Amino acid sequence: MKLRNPLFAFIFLCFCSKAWAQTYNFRTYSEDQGLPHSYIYCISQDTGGYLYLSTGEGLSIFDGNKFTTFSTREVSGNFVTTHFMDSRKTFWIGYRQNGVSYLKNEKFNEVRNRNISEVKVTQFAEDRRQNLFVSTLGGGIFKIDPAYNLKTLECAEVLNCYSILFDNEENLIAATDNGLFLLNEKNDSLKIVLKVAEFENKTIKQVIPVNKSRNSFWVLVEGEGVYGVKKTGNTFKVFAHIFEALKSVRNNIPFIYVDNTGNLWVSLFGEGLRKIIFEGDPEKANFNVLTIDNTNGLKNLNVQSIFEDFEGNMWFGTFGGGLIEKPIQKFSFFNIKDGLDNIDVGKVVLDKYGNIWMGNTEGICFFNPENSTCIKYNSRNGFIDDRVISLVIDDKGLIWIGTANNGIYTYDHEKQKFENFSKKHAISPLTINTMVQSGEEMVIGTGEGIIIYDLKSANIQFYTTSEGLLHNNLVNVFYDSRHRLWVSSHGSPPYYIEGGKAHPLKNINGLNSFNINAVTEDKNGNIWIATDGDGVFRYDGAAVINYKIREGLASNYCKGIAVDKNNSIWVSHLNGLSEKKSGRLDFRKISSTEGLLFAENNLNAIYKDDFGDLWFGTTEGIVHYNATLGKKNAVQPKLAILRVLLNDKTFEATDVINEKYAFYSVTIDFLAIALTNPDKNKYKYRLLGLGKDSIWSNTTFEHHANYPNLSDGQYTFQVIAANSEGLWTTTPAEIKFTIQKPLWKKPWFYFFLVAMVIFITYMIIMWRTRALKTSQMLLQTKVKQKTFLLQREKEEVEKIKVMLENKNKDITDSINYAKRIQDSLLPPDETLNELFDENYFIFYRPKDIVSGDFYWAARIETGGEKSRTLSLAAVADCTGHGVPGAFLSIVANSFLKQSLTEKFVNNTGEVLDYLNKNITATLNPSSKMKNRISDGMDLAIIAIDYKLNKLHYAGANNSIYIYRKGESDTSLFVLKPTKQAIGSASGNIVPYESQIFDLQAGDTIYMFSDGYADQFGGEKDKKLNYKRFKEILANASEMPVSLQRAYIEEAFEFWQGKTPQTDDVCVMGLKF
Amino acid sequence: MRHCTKIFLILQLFFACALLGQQTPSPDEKIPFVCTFSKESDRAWGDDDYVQTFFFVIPDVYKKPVYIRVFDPEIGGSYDENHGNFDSKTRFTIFGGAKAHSHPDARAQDPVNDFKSGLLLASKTFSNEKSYDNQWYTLGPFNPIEGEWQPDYGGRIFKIVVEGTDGDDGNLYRIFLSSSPEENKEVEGGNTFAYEYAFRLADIKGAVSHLYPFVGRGVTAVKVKIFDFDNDGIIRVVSIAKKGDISKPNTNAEWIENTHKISREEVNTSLDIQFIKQKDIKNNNIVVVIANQYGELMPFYTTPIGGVPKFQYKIGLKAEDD
Repeated sequence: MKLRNPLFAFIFLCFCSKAWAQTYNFRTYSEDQGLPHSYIYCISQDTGGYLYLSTGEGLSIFDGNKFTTFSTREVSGNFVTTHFMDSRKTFWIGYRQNGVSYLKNEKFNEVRNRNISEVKVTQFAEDRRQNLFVSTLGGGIFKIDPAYNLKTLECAEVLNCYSILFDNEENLIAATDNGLFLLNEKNDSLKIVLKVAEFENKTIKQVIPVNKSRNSFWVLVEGEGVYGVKKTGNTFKVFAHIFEALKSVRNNIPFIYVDNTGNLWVSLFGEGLRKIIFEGDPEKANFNVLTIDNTNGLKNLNVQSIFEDFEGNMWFGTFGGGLIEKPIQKFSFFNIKDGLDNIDVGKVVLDKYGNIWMGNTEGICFFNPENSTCIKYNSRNGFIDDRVISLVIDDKGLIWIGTANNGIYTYDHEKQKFENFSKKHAISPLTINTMVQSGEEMVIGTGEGIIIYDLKSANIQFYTTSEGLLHNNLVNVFYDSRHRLWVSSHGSPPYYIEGGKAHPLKNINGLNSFNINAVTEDKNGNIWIATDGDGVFRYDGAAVINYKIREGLASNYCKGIAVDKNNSIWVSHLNGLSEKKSGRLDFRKISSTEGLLFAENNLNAIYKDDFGDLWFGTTEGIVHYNATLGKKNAVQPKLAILRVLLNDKTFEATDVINEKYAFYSVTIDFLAIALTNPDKNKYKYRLLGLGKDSIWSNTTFEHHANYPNLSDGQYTFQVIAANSEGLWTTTPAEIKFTIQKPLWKKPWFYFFLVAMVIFITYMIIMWRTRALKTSQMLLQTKVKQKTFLLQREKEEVEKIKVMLENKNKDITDSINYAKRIQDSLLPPDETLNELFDENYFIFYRPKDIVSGDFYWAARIETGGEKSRTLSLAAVADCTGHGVPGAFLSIVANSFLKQSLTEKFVNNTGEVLDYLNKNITATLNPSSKMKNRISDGMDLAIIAIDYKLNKLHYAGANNSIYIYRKGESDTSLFVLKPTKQAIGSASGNIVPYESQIFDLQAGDTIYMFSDGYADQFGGEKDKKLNYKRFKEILANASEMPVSLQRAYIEEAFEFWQGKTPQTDDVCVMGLKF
Repeated sequence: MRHCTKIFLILQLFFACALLGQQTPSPDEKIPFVCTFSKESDRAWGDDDYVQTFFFVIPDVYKKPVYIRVFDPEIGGSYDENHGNFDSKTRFTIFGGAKAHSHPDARAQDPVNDFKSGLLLASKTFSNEKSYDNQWYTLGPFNPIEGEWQPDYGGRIFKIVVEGTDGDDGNLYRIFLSSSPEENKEVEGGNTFAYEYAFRLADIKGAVSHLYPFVGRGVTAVKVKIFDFDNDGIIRVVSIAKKGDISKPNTNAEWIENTHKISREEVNTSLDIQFIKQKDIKNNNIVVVIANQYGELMPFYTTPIGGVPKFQYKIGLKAEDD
């Protein structure tokens, strides 16, 4: 609707400046919320946003969340009647019969004398010289100079003074029970300049300035209401008397207050409040009176004090009812209580007079909010009984009514005449969903297409899908600033008609339902599309952006959409409203906590009036959004850091915090004061110096931050806050604190440490040097001692050595001599040559000087008839070698010789038997010897009968080899011994076997000890063994006997190499 | 007042059930109106000092606002005593805070010096205003803690001083201590008392008006002082021990004092001082003050503490009335 008629616009403006009776969303704070007392005498707010309350039980401070009350110890009395913050930021408290006190250095200091202590302090006022004046009931007026000296200003006329203030000429105006006085203070005495005649002998309860100029005042006169007086020089002239308009029965007014917009609030004991809303200059006394009482939701009608905070919220201190807040009421509501006849409002529009027209299920309603008049139109008064779906008022004031089943009706309110438009113009579609006027055209969206009616020519055009519409059932139509007609339908994408052609938006991400409910346009030319299920879409001419619940929408089901005068986008839902403020990225859900009482919105029941305010039709009545007040809460919250807790130590925000090194759990309390909706105040904070600099925390509603384990460093804590509207403080509140470095992180400590290292190193070196020197000296001493001992031992050893050498020489000489004896026992070469015709050789190599091996030879003549000569030879290997072997060889040699003479010795076997028997007997002369000697020898003995070519053999463990050279090869005959050593002292002694072997010429007989075959050597240091020994002997047997010894010796030494000789070696070879 | 300490205990018992003691005069007193004459009146008309003071006790536990309602506060129209034209003014002033009651001048017989002690809480002056004629006017609300804290009296005490400021007419009125501004609704546990009582006797011959002073501990005798009774009838004292001590009546514009001994059983009970009208004198206004043997004024409550005293006959004795 446009206000084209200036007269209508004026009327409308006048109307809109009035306030309607409506339900307010009061919030009450009582003793249950921590208020110390339910009687509140004075309210104010400091620059930090804290609300100060004077109560009968002390001074209480409200931060939006909790009340903090000073106990009697902190203030000089409990009954606080008033308070005041002077220009020096000194906070003053006035008491009942307890004088005054002021807060300085966080301590309350009392200022009183006998006079002021017995009276009731009513008000403070400060002059330009920072003198403080105190009005009292019963004590007159007192003065406190800047040095806190209290003086009584004698003036009997103003003994009972309710209120004082300074005018623009620095005169003191005093409201007393004796009238209104103009006073002048000089030299601590009061001079009455004027006693205002109009109020002579009347009780003046209060005087307050009308505005900042302080030359006009509101004067509260007991029983007579409020006078407005203008002071010119020393004359007062009444310009207004507000009394009858208050419509008070009791006329008991305790308090008046001028809010930030100049409106006058009047408290009426027992009757609530009156808000005097001035149209223009209050001195012109053109005003309206708004009554606020229990019909508006005010629960306590005894309001004693009134205050408006910096956000525009009104606070009422009551008498017995606690503190009542009237938040900025950007929403107002109309329902049955306000006079509405039907609260299910399907459509709402305003006419040029400010009357509300509603469409509902029963017809239409006219509602005058000023006097709560509601007129219902249906079949009983010229209209019909049908549901009204669409409603529009054209620029001539004609009301167009679209019904669900009966087409279009028009209503001329001035003529009070309804007309059936559909019937008149033969329009067939009977379901009229939406209508919008554009210039001379009325665009009508129906269930069967679009009708365009020319208001001037009455020409009608009808468009359906046949003419290009995407769907015949239209939900909403909207003309944008480029005169494009946007059509909303269920079942088609959003599209607009331009140049007679439909232009759908294609490929819209997120659009699934195609249920388009409404379209609107913001001031930047963006098109906003509300859908039923897919949220909201913004089309900027190029791209489409989708907004859903995650972007802050209250619901994805959007019943309507509109733009207010602040360019905020509003979306209606079944569960409330969503708002996206201009410049913000996200929507914000509007719920009951922000004062929205009715939530269930009807389809496309949003109306934007000419002031940019929005009206919402809901199932519970009408919601009016005041866009002007909606913008008012654009006041940043007051933010302050309250205290810092380092472990259990508390610091105030003003303290210098510099703590010794430790790991601290740091808690920082802060608070943003925005009283409009304090529960919705939110914060972000960060701690610079942590390493994660400049990273703000997530948004939180908690007003404290905790860092559980902070160590040394210089920290700066910063916090920002936002009010319930999401308006963030531009400057963070911050506090710095330091945790000192530990000892080992301080520079001097490093120098100390280096010095200590150097010193310790030096000391260690010194110590070690000294220790080394000591050790060296000890060592030298020890060396000397050891050297001395060694020298002595060496001398001893040398002596022993000499002695041993001598003994060794003696032994060696003895052994060498024994060797000569042993050698002498061996048959000499001559004997052997004779016995064996020089066909023999002997390889005899003792391991030591004397040998355990020996060889023996002899000739014997057998007796009897067939006497024969036998050449005997034997090779023996006594147990052990060296001297023991030599002894045995001597014994054996002896018994061998003896055997030749024994009668019963007739063959070689018996020789060995004899030998065995005698040696055993010799070595073990007694059979009772405990340690029987089992030493003996292995031995082979042969007797060669050269005549008979017979060889007689007997062996004790020693075999003999006989090589016989054939024509092609050499044969080896091994004569095996009896397995019994000579000298066997135990076991069964068997007779040694005598064997006779037939010799052939050329046979070579080898007798040997085991020393040759057992010699270690060769590449692998192994025994030569009998296999190799046989091969050597085989090779040797083919040689002349004269060469065989050398061959066998060479072969032995070759095998032996550098290996020491293992045993005594004796090999005897005989060529037959 | 030493005996006041014990009064408190008895008051506690009384406050639990007494809710009608907040109207002055109370129905028990059978006194039609209290009265205050303006300062230009002749004392012979029945007011010796043109000032009437009442005290209201609010129990400490009572936190809601209280109101003091005055019936027919203006001086003109119905009930009030006219001498020539109604050209008088009566000021009703409420006091609270320290010394409102505890100041000796506040409890003195004559309104001199600081009898208006305490803090001024509200004041209203009435003249001949039709709008208030035969109507209740409400003073307040008052925060109960604005009264003077008097634990001996069971709570906080407010004081109303009624002064005949201008003219020569007599203002007849009633007062109610109320918890509601719109109607007479008792303050739970509240009571009203006075040290001097100026009131109008009933006009009907044979009518009996009562006053109920409370006899505290240590009281051995009470002195009943009456001003301007005009020999209008009999004054007798009834208690649980007194069947009806007859006092000497007095004449016009004079004080007369009668002393009555107090027996042991009368201590901590109320006396019933009866004014039995025997003449046809209309508009007889009198002033009564009751003091103990030391001359200290005794409070008398609009509703008798412990109930209206009745003479308790001894066993075996036949009652005279029978």
